[in-house]
Amino acid sequence: MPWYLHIALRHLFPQGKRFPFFTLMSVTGVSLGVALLIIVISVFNGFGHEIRTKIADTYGDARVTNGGILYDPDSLVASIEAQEGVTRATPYANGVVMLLFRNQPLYPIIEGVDMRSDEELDKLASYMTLGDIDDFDDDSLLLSSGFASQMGLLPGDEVDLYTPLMGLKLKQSGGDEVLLPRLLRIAGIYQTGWQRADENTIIGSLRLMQDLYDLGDGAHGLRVQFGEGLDAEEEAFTLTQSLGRPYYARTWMDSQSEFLSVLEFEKRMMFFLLFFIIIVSAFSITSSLLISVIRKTREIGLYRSMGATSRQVSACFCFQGLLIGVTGTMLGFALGFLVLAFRTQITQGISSIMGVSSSMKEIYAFSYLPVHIVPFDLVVISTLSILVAVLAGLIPAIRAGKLKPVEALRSE
Amino acid sequence: MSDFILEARSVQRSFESGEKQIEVLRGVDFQLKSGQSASIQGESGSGKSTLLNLLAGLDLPDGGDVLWKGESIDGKSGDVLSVLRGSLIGMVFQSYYLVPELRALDNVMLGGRISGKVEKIEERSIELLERVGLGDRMKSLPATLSGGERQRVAIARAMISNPRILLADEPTGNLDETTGDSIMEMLQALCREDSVALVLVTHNTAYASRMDDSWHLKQGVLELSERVE
Repeated sequence: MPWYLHIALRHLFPQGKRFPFFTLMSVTGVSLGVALLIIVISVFNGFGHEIRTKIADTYGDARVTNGGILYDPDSLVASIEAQEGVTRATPYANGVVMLLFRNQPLYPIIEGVDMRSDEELDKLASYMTLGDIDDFDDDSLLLSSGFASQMGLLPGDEVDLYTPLMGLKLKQSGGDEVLLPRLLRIAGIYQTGWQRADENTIIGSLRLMQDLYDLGDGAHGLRVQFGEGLDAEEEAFTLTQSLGRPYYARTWMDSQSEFLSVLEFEKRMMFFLLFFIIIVSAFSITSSLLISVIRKTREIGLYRSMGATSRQVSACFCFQGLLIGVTGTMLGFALGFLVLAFRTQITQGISSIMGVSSSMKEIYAFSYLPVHIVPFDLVVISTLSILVAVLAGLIPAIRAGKLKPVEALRSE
Repeated sequence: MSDFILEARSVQRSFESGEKQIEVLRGVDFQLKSGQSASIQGESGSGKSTLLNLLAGLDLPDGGDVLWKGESIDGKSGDVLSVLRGSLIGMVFQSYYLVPELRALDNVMLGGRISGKVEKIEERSIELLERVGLGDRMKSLPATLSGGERQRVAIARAMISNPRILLADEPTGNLDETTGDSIMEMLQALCREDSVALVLVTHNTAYASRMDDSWHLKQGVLELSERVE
């Protein structure tokens, strides 16, 4: 090891002596900054990941449509499920209806799900907060929590449902054929945790939608699920290519691109703001190393008298910045992962100390603090932290390198 | 080619003190042959340490020239001078200047590492510490050593790079008489055994008289007061 690296190591971690205070403060500053960045970004990623998962769950990885009505969805299901990477395809139909309850009309978006698919029903069951999925049939509805509270509906209540088809039929028959509204029972209330799905959406059976929209055995499209870990956009592109026109596979990301860019923007802003902590700790490194240069001025003169070049002296102090950065980042990673591992206990502890309920499910539809660790984020955090620490060491290093040997030796 | 390993020719050096210009050295001439020893005496503030720094290339003269092995150091960059100094000159200071974070052995090894003479460095450092009588204190930190022991470590550190010249700036200045005597004896013995030229800046006339040449610096002028032929 070159002598200046050895000296840098010994300045920071001397043998047989107490851990120097300035090293402790500098390393602690970087550690806390890195730990905080890891914790906040991972929790932020966790929320984003949960929301994305919920969107993908409710929307499906992709939806295949032909721009109109699929009159034979079952044959298309068979053809799509035969494709590599596709795990499931289920028909759906959606549209807008009017719901009337106690003379109060509202216009929710209705989504018809295929009751033959156990997976679809299991997924719905996992989001239900009131009622029982076993009560859900062709004559009942599931309401999103936001919609239910807006109308004051509870499981067991009955509502009248009107479709745009009623007016169309009346017009086509010249006033001879009148479709009556459907009386439907509320089977349950669900909450996905995705605001858009929880605000103004209701769910009925595909059979019900086929009746309401006069689709026969048809559907508006197919909800497609890809295999675990596959890139939905890539798979959707392949699917579109293989199905050919007029079919088109659109991913949930395409449909929610605006929302996703907001999520990404928020994460970047959070990263940017929290990174100031690292920059503050960089100032602490600079001041500590500058003090060290002043304290060790005569030592620097000694190195020069023994044959050290100014670059070697600079490297000694620059390396100290690097060491502080690397050590602080490593400790920050350890601290960050430790806090993330015990996040549930910590949030519960804080809640009990502050005497507030920690029911996150009520607010976020999560019963735990979600965490998603993205390796790329960790690489960015560690690289930038170490880089800032090295830059922080540059000013003292340049100052040390510029010291004239004779003046350094003479200094008091 | 000059016979001298270290030479100063008409060296001048002055410093600013407020609006005043103080001439410390007014055309100093000095010569030292390989393996010889010389003492420089003078009153406090007479410029002895300034001259030593100029001879070591740590400072540059305002006028005149310093030559190492007959070659002028004038015009050489600070870093080039550092590298040349590391291979040619060893320095011992009154205040020892040991690195407090390093053990005695590491302090000695540091001298070799900086000067680039790293071959068998640990063995040579141990041998040097044994020669200066510190075989049993190698793992001690400077803070746990006495003044005399610290100076011994500093001398061993100066000798580890096999210098041709040793510049010692009042090496016994901080030590009591007995310890000072033993340090001087050891310093001379080491230089004699290894054929190292020694320049000793001292106030002590007895130590000065043990050198081959005795120089006296007075009012910026260096005079040879005694030479042993």
